[in-house]
Amino acid sequence: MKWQISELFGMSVYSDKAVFLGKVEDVVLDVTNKKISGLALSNVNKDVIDTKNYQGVIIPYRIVKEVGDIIIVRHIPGAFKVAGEPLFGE
Amino acid sequence: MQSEQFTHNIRRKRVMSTDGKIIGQIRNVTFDAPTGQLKALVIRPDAGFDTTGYKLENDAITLPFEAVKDITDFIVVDRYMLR
Repeated sequence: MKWQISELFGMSVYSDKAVFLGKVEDVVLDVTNKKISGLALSNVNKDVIDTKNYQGVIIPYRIVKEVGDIIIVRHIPGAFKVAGEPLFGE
Repeated sequence: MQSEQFTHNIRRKRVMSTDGKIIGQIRNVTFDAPTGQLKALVIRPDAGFDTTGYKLENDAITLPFEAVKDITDFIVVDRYMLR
């Protein structure tokens, strides 16, 4: 399906472990290779992604799995911490 | 050199063809979601631009993203690849 870039703005981004990552603030275009190279996120879930002192974070478009009402990206264990202790501990 | 651009940088840019003609103002870019491949530019043509031969949709024309040569102060498109 064909999408317009403007439709992505404000879309929520979740990982495939159903963890909220942030909202799309901007899109980075690779003009040379004529593709989207990344999504700039704002409202970043700080429990999952360490933004240091930056306002947001850019995730590479290659980890995007699906675009629909929300965007689902591959869960990268090293980059995305899974928040919280298990409710029913082992 | 690889050229990367934030969309907020290009949203107010004008589109010019390689023969120096201003075509209009960028409105949107379409893309293919699974691959992220950019497909087309959606452009609101200037009043002085002759749109005969282009498909007009809601006062906008679409040009293949293939035609984009570079994006600097203008979005420059190859005049031979416009249709």
